[in-house]
Amino acid sequence: MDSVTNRIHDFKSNASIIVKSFNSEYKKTPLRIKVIDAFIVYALLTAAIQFLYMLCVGTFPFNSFLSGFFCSLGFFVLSVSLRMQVDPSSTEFKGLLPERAYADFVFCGCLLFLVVWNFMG
Amino acid sequence: MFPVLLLLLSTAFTCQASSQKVLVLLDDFKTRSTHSLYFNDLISRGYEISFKSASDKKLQLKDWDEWLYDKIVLFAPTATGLGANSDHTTLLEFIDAGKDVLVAVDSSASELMRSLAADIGFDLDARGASVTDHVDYVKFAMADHTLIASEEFMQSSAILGNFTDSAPILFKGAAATMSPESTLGISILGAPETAFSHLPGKPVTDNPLVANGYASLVAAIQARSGARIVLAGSVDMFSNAYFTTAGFETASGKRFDKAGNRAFCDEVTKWAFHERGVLRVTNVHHSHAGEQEQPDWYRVSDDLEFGLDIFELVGGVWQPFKADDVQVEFVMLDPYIRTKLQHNEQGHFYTAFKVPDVYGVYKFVINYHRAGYTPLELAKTVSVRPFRHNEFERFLVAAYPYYMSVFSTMAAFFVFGFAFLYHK
Repeated sequence: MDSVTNRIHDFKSNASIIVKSFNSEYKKTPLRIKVIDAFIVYALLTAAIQFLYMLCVGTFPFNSFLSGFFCSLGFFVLSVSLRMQVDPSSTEFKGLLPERAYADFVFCGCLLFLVVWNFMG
Repeated sequence: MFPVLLLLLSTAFTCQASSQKVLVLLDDFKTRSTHSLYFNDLISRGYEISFKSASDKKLQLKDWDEWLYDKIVLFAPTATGLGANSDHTTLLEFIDAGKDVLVAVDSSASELMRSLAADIGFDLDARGASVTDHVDYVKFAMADHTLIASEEFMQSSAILGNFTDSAPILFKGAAATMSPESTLGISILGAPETAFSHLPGKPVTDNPLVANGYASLVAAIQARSGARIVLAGSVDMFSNAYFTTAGFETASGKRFDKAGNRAFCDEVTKWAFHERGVLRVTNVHHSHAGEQEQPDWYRVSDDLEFGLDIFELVGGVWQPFKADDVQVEFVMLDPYIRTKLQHNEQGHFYTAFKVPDVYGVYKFVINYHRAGYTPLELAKTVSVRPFRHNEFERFLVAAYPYYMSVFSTMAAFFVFGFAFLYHK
């Protein structure tokens, strides 16, 4: 019994250490990136809610479900791409201007919404 | 319009008894007087009768591709040839042309008669074999065990009309069997349980052709050409002697006031000569539910109505057909819908159903085959199309959450622009 409680205790302390270190590290993230993260979480949540709703009421109307679901997912993917491109800690897109990255994001977003609107019916 | 395939037997429209020509082929002209009652019954129903000898070398059934007769009565069991021919091919051509033949043979039937019987799907028992009943033969002056009385007639108003007479039918002759796989053959008169078919006077050493249930005394077939052919195993059953038999007793002690031969033979002939059991379809119609116009196509899940009129020939008059077992199928390779048709006692058969949710080219199919009736085979093509792009329902309440998510995501996209551009 002792070993089990010890293990649980260890796990709890480890988890709290991870959360604490994440929090402290995340505080160093620039505000702009934090804003992007907020929208990413929002996009994921709407996608998850729509999926649950689909499970409850069934797949009809399927085209509406697909367009709503993929709209959220697409927004999520585009936001993640933008985050990767404007993150100052990343070296991958060193030469890329944040304005250029944002312009790409807007263009792709418009394309996404155009498709979604046509399919939503 | 899509092509309409209406397979109706042409004979269904040409079956007025009036002034139809009947050829009676005999092997012995005495038959003309010994069977005069039967022939008079034919004449009184409006037939024009000509008597010919089956061996008449000048016998002609066809003149320049035109048949000279509408029906043939073949009372020539011993004939070895038909006219100048030694075989029966002209007779088979006659049948293939949709014309009716009534054949009566007896136990001495010739090879010609046997091969004719075989070609129409019946197998006559060996030459000389007679239907014999040692238990229940008919007692006349002479004790003849091959004269029997059968009550095993088929219960079919299509064939025998209102022949509900329980008088048995006197019979003396040969029995025929038909293949159990035969789909067109009908046994109109069976043999009594105690009867069997064998050479009279010879001891029975092998299994005789068991009469009951297997052999028929009077058999019939409705060919796919529309022709009706009746094969009676006895010429005598059509004779005046049997028609007028006043009363008789069977060996088992049953007494009967009369024989049913006259009524039975007349009814069988009426059926064989298309005076009865003929069905006609008119006014095949389908439409959207509640409408009159017949469209070329339907949309999946449409409600439609289907109807047709069926008439039956009764005594020369078309009367409404009454049956509860007529079905219509809605077929695209497989029947997607098979349903019974209701009728209004006036001959109008109808039903309503929903088009299945599968698009393609369908057929309304009526396939009505009943013993004694002309078959109804009818197919009508109609196409079923899917929904058009603007026929789907829109702005469904169930889809509101999805619409909301799209709007909120777009709003988020818009707000995101400000949040991103004004934060360093």
